[in-house]
Amino acid sequence: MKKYLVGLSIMLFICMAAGQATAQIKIGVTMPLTGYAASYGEDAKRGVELAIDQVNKAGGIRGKKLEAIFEDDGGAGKVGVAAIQKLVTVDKVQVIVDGMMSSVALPAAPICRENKVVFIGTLTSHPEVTSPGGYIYRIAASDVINANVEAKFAYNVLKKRRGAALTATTDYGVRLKKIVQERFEKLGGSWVGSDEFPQGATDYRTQLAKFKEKNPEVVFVVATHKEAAQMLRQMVELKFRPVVIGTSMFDDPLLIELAGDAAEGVYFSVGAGSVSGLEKKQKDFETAFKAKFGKEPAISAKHFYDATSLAIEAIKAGGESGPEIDKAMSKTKDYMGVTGSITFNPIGDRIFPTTLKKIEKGKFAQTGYVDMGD
Amino acid sequence: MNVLFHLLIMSGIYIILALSLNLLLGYAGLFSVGHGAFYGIGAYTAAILATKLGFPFWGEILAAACVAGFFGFLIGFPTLRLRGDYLALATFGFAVILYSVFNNWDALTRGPLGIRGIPRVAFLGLEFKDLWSYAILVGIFVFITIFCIRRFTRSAFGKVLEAIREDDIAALAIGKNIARFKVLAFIISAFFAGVAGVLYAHYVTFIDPASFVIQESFLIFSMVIFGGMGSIGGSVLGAAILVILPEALRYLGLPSAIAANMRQMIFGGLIVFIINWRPEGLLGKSKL
Amino acid sequence: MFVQLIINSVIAGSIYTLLALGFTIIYGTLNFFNMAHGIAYALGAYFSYVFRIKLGLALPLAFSLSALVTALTMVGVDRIAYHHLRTRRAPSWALVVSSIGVAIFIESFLSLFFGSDTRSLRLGEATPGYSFFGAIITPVQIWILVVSGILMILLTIYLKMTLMGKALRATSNDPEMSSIVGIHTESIYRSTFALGSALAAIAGSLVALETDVYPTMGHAALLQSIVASIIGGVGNVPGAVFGSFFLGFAENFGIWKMSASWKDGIALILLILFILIRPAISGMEQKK
Repeated sequence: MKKYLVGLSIMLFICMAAGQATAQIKIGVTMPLTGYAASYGEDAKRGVELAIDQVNKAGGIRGKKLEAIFEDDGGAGKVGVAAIQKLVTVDKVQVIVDGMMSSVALPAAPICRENKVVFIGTLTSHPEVTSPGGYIYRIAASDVINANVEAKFAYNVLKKRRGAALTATTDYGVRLKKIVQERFEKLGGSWVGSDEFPQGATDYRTQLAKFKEKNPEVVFVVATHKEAAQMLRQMVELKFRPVVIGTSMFDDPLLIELAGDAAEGVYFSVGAGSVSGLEKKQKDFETAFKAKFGKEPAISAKHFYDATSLAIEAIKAGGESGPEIDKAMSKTKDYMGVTGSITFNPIGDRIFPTTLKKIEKGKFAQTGYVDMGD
Repeated sequence: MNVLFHLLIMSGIYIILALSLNLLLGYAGLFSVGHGAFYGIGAYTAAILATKLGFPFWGEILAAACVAGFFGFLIGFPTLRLRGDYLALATFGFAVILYSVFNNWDALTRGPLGIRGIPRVAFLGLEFKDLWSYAILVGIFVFITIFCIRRFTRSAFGKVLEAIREDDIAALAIGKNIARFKVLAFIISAFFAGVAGVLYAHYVTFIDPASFVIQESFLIFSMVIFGGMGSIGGSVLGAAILVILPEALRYLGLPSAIAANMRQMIFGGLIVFIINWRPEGLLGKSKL
Repeated sequence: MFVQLIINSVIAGSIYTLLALGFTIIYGTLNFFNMAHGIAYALGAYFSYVFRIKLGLALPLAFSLSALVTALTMVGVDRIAYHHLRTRRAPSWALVVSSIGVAIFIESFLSLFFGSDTRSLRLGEATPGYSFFGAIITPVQIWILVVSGILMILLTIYLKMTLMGKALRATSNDPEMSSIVGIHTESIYRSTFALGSALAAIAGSLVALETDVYPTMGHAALLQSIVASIIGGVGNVPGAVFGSFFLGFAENFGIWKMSASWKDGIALILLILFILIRPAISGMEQKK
């Protein structure tokens, strides 16, 4: 037994030493590659690979090639912390793209800051990830903004007066539900009820039947595209068809594929930019993505692509060390990413105009509604 | 370097967990499969006390461990009459229910939002901010735990537990009040698991229900079996291996497309292999 | 509303029955909690996906083939992961740990091979279901009822009337005696495993028609198998049926009154209640 342990340690040591060898620019990236969120993680990985591919084809940064070191964070704090520690201390990267799940981002961000490594959070929307002190950035919209926009859209534009919410029991779901209800009621709407479901649930029939009796006109949903597909199909089966407004998690072609016609007429909130420049950028991105991977990009890919591109720009503008990257990042203003225009406020949060998209005839369509948030 | 300290800290925490479960599983023969629950209770109690009430560290760890111990009593008492597999299922059920509570009782635990901002440990004027200092702190607790568990198992108390494991009826015949011993075993076991929870909470500074799913209990259970039931050294070894192994596999330099899943596969495969190779556990007493 | 609840409960109960039946006969004969049962469920769904979507076979054929292939796979798993432990008369927890390893291995393999994205078994659109006394029931749900009903009847006939079935019951009651009497226990074990896994596979395929295929789909299924089996008494076939429907009803009526996120909690509270209330009966001898 002892012999094996010694042998294993030697092997580890060699591997670690080997990892330090090459002279390239490395960025660290973590995402869940195992566990429940693994499919998002895989999507995210593709987004990063595309960004890196594009920059390397264009000659790299000052002649050096860019390389990403991927680590699985399992979507959980425990594994995520180990991943971050490795990237920061063993691989010695200067910027990390991370933060799909809040339970990873919350402990990870401070670790990065302490080590003067730039942390770019992607999809996590937990308000406590960002704070004054630099080094921490986040490109997801805060839930507060989304929730308010959704409520206003439902009330003012769609003229719906009876609302309800069906949300996953996650931090996102819990927060959004509360804010949407508050806003909707403040605007003058009446709230019919809210219900929750555990993550990964597949049977919504009882909850939907409960709602059907109370007859809401609009249902705000926080669910993954997988969960939503089930929900929408079951709504069709139960002959219950209120307007459904979801979040950016719906921004995934798989939703249309799994839900089919059931997804017709569904809205969801996403980040916006000046609509014209954004459309072209998104089209180019989607074309390149499809060409490389044979699949369409979903929301994780888009966010991770933007985060990686931001890191690339910052390295180009500032330099290769953590503090230099941080300085360049903080100056980001109106950067046109595929998730919209990006500008950071002093604590690293993104200032965000939001829009709503619609699913029409099996495709995503713009509604043209843009809200600066308030 | 930091990775090493991180591994030491996590190993230490799990060693304490494995040791405490071993008391129940290996010595008393009580088939408890919901150990993650006590771990979680310790962690959440500490988190709440630290963030909402600003308790000092020593007060907090004592309180949290006592709360966990109390739950040990709550479990140990009603399940006295249960044997073997039924006890396993009751404890399993308890762990899952507790997860549901963590996730849904927003007022107390903030549900899925979790509790963040758990401060770094500080007492006696020393602040355990650096990783290496925290590793030392955890190490101290590991030694305390090992010491205590050894004392327990070698004492008369421990002998009675072993007697209970071998044959309930015989133990009764000698006139020992089995019930008291079983419950006591649960309380002590839960107490130490609570300690581990506190250490975890202060390390990761953010806890949410996801850290205490039933898979955690399975993991701790596997560690005890792996290392060998009834063996203190076994629990230490089992815990250390099952913590370090998946992380070590990161360094194999596997192609990134398959690395994560490959690691899990290797991990699963190794579990099957080792348990087949030595069913009594690595350092378990060979009674097969 | 009420009728809808009943329909939902019956559907859920039917699925749980298929799962619990498999789980309970495996426990009854092989004597351990097969933590890889959820994996058989997932495998069934994935194989059906391959046969139906990738190879274009007709639905009934795809499902039957998938059940067969899953059964064979799990028998292979048994040979690799459990057989050796059985011959060495290892305690049941060693088998449990091994099954945990198996579950981790296969789940990561599925994730590796198929990717973590969700796959669909369906070829058509969602259509409004049929109206039935003010409630709605869909064609797929009707299929689920029919198929599970048929399987339940077939299984009962098998166990009560065929030679193999009786041998299975004999072995589960008393393996030593059965062996002395000339029953080839090893082959009974294998066929039980195959049978149990096939049932789980069919459950997985049926459910996947509605809720799609993804690597972690076995987790909830495992939980439900365990709870339903316990309520009815592990190893007790009619009990499994009762337990499954009880669970289905309790969950759905519970959700009606409370928030759905407590669903798992309901199942587990039931579990504990039943374990505490009926410790000594439940069809199986107390095994340590």
